[in-house]
Amino acid sequence: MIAALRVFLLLLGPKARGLRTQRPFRLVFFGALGLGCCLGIYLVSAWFLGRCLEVELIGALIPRKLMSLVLLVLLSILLISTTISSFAVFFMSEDLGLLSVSPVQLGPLYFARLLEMTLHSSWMVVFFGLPVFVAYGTVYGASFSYYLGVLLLFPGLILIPACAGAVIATGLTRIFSARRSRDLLVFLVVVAFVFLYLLMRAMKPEQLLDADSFGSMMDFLNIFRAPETSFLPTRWMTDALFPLLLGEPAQVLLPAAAIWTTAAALAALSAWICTGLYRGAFARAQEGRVRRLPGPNGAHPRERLLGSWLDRLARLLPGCSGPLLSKDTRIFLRDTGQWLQLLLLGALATVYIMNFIYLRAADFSWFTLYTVNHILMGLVVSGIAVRFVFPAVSLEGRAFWIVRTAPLALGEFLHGKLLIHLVPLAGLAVALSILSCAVIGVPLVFGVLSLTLILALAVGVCSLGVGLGAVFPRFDAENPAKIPTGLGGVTFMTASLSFVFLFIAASVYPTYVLYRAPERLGNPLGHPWWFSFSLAALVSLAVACAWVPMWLGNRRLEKREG
Amino acid sequence: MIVIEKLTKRFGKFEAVSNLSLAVRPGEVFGFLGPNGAGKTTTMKIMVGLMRPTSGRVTIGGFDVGREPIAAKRLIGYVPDRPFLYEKLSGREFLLFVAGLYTTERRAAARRADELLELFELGRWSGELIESYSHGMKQRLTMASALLHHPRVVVVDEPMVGLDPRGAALVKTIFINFCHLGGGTVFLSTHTLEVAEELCDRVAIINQGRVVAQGDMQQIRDQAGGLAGGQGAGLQDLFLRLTGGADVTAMLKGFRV
Repeated sequence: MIAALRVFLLLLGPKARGLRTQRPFRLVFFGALGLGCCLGIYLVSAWFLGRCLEVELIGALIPRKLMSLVLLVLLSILLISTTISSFAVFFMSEDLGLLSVSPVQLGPLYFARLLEMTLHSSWMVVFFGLPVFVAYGTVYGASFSYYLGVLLLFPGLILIPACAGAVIATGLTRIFSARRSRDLLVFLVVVAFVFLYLLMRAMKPEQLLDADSFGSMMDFLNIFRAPETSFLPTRWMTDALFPLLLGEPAQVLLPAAAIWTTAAALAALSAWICTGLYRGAFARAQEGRVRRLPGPNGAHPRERLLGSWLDRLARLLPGCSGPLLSKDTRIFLRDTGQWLQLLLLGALATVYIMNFIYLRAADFSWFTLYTVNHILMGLVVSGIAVRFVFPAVSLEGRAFWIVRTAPLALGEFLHGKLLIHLVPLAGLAVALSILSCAVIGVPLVFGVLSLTLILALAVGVCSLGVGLGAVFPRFDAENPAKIPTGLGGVTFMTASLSFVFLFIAASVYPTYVLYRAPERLGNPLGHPWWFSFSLAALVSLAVACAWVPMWLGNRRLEKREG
Repeated sequence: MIVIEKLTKRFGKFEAVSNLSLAVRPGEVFGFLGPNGAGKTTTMKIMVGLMRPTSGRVTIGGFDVGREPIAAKRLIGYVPDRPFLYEKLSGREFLLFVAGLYTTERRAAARRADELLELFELGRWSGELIESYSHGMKQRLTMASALLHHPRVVVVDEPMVGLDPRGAALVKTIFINFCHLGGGTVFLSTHTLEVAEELCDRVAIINQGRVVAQGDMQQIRDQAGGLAGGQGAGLQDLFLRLTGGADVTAMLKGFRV
């Protein structure tokens, strides 16, 4: 037992030492940002719970239902994230080759990896979930025992989906292979997420704050309907925490015991299953993914058709943009984790347009909706750019030497990346602009103006994405989804959102002048200085955002060595 | 064809390459030998434009790599020590992408890519994704990509790592033909001294960033002649004497594995 514990601690050692090498500035920056978010979540939760308790008759019921819902959401997220992390930690981690040939017992290896995977995939959920529970404590004026209960019960609750995730990942890998299983799982998760997202939006949760808008009490309560089976760990957690909130600790023991005994039993059971299946699953995971059988030109007919279209398109583009387009598109379409996000994009666009249909029904002037629409479109463009444009340079990965040793100026490479990302981004922005303007019902001239603004905005955001992506490259990132999560991603989002707000703010006055022009034929410009200043600000911002980040990115890449 | 003049590269206080000068003629296979950390890879990365020197310069075919990088890179094919490639492309697609970066005409590039895939015995696998290739196959594909644009100089870092004997023999033949029949130049670093002895017309031995000996085998023996047993020794003995490895050899005699 002691030998097993020593192996367990030895395996965790390198990971713990890895944490110490983090740069202090980065830790302080992200720490402050995270604490700010936590504070925001706490304040919003406390305000919302306070408002709920003020509701007559049913006020006391809502927080309990809400806690059950929040826990269910957290547990679902944890189950998904621990399953996906399990593929990486148990089967795709680089040190597994070394460990598999060393005489390490599977038991300690499993528990060390389970702990690492649980911490890795749950810290964010806990970090952003705990403020909600602290808010409960504050609103109910709970004693110390409630906070102690939260701290003691949360690890047990987290362990349950983590063990389940490890078993699912091991079982799937034993049958398929780590990559195929992960692709399949990511696909199912994305489809489920899109479905839930559309469903949630259709429920119009903003109505919760206005109980009068419901036909009856039952309609209102139906909104909170969540699976209420007594076999769900989230139900045990609610049953354990609520007595503590209300100062009735005697009722805590049974649900608390249910959580920890289930967690312990699942840990033992999952260890038994996973260690039993591990050797076979690990061997399966090592199998290369041979996608196509040899044939004429080596390609599948569907791929040949796509390839011929891509090549035709690539020939139309100048310089290195053609080869880059051909390569990046193929890589994008062959990476399930990447192209599946297009589904999310589709859902986002649908919800966006649906929102304007709801807003149009409200009593807003079209000019107000028109201005808000530009800000929201800017946010959508920035959100898409941080996921798809910012990682463009980093996605070259360790193969970037190929571009660096080619007879190609890095500026040309960056402009190639800009061009191939700008076209789809601007296309989406234009589609959103046309659809939303049609839904709002703006006059044609304002529709054309909206298109011009959104195109300039897309160029600025895309340049920021490619340029800052080159300033903060992460060529060693194995998972593309992690590229925007660092300091560079935060810098890009800050810069991009600032650009969007400043650009739209500068556009408001000239647009307003056009809006009021029919009423002010004698003095259509209103304040000519304001008008000139706004136009100059618009042009300067657009030019600066299109040029400066690309210049900075080019300079940084040229200075980069290795 | 390749001229390295007083090349120095420092990383902070550490001098990886120190005042290194070399000249390689057209049609020559030049071996660059040295122990781990001697500065071989750093020198080669400066030659192909992946690093900038602290001082000194490298010219390829008369073009200064620092001042005219595009012109110099047109003449170079580079094979790094680790073949990091685009894993989600097939072998053929990868070669066509590289050809696009060198602005080779598409039909000619496709013909050349197919020829090279056959030459490096990858034709059967040309439609498979690179992620399913073995290390040796990736290494051969990288070599094919280095020869795709008809370079005049090929810079190869550890060409034989990961290759089986058949692959190694193939690569040796290709390099010899490229230089002796095609008039190209190969600049290769290797730890496999038999490869250097068999393949290279001339070699340079580098230790701690400095060239300690250079020339053909006879010249190396002459330069090592001052050291005990220098004359008549094989390249391995000369290498160990020139790089201080002889001490390690003596120490190993008393070490039981």
